[in-house]
Amino acid sequence: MSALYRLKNVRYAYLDRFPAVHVSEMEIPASSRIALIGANGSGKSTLLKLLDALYFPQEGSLEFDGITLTEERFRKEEFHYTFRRRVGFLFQDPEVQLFSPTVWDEICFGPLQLGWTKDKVRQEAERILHQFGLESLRDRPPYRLSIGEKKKVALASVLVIDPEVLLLDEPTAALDPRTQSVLLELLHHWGENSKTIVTSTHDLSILKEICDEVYVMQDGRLIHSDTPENILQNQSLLESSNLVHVHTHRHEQVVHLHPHTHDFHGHSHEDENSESPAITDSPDP
Amino acid sequence: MNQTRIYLEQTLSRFTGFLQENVFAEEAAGRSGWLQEMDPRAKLAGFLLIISACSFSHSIITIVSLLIFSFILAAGSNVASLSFLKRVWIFMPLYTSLIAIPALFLTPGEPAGVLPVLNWTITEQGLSSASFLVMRVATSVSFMMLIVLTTRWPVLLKAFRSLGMPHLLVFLLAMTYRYIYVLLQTSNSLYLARKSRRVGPEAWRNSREWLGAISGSLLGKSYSLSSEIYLAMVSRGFRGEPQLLSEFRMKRRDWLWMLLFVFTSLAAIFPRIHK
Repeated sequence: MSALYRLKNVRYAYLDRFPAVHVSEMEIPASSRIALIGANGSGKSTLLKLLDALYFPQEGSLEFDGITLTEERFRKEEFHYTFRRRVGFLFQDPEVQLFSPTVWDEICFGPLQLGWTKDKVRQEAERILHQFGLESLRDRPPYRLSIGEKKKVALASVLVIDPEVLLLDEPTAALDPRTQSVLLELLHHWGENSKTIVTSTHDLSILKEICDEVYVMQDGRLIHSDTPENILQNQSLLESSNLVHVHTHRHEQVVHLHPHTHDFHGHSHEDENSESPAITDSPDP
Repeated sequence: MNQTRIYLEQTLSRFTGFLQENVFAEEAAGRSGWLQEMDPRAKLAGFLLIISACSFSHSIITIVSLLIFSFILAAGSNVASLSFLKRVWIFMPLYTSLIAIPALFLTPGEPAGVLPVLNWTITEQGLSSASFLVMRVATSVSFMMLIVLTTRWPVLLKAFRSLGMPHLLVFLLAMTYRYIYVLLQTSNSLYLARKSRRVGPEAWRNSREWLGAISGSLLGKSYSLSSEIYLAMVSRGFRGEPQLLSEFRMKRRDWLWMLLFVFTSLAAIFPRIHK
């Protein structure tokens, strides 16, 4: 597979003082499904914004389909529209993304900015409303929606242009399990058609569903990459990057201290049969 | 302490009141009625004509007739509620009266009476000017309230755009309306979070300090929010001039309404033109 994105020595710091991202080398092949994982503040969201050319590297180079992304290049209308047509971005906070007066206006916003004809805008907006089951919310103001509905509308407003690349910033954050699975189902269905999807998350339970390769980020750097299966088994890596935690809890008559991750159904121990790293004490009789 | 609490809680309740008033407006706009079923462009253009005619008219009878016309429209649109009357007849004319009262005594003309105790002379011309001002404001406010109560905000914005208001201005209005809610909710949450951690009475000074801090915090939040929103717009192709979709279609009935509004406006200013 050819590289769609190619990053070399990319650095970005907020206000030129607070380092957020420093990626020495990274390639994202076309039609791949990548996940960026890391604790809060590890630079995942900033890296996604760099990939969407919302921020530009202060050092190094970031190429998309062989073209270096620079502010200068985006001043040209044609390139701006071509890139925005090809890449979609789902923000973490739907409140940020839903700025139009109604759900319908929100969905039409992107295609209208890209200069589509009004008939095509209406046709595509109707299609996506139907696909996402949002017809009943069509004339509702976004602020009246539940968080799950907001996420769905935000995703629909990005997918209406059917981009080749989808950048997702914490798509399942703050969602209940049922809405999470609905959203993942929609993404899965959309991504079947050889799309490139880059997802940032710290929800390890969805890794296997959303990607084929995982990059672990810490302090703005990519410290490791592997398949989701291998990453999930690499306990020391997950612990050192703050993605799993160690805490005490009770099993029958024994109080254990051991690391574990959380999933939809409560929690799962990394290795149920292994001996606990530490047995603190016995419970009170 | 009580005063502090009352002040803060009143502020909070006004925030909530603002939200409720908007909810009421949206609910009213969703009812079936004459104005709700009218094309918003016809409504907006027609009412602007009537308001202009009201400003040009020099007959108090004409202005009162226009006011009565607005009440008939309100009744036909199922919005002639106490809230509507309160807004039109109590608050607005009351505020305007404060401006109009000096005119009663300061406008030169024939004496019409004397104010007891102060012995200030009220002139006929002063009385006429004050009445015109109050009635014009009440009539204009009445028609504006009808627009607000019978048109959903997004539809009203599109109507503005259809009548030639610049894209950017329409978009700014839309964004302001949208994010006022977010900021109001944030203020409410900040107040409640503080209230939940406060124990016992609190000095007025501390409260004022907190109000200053919350204002700064809200400003910071709104700045950060606006930056993120801008990025979200750019990400979807925005380049400084938002494109909006207008989907109105004038029906025969709307043209008839438009004709009625034009006729009413002309009738209101006819005596002046005729002179």
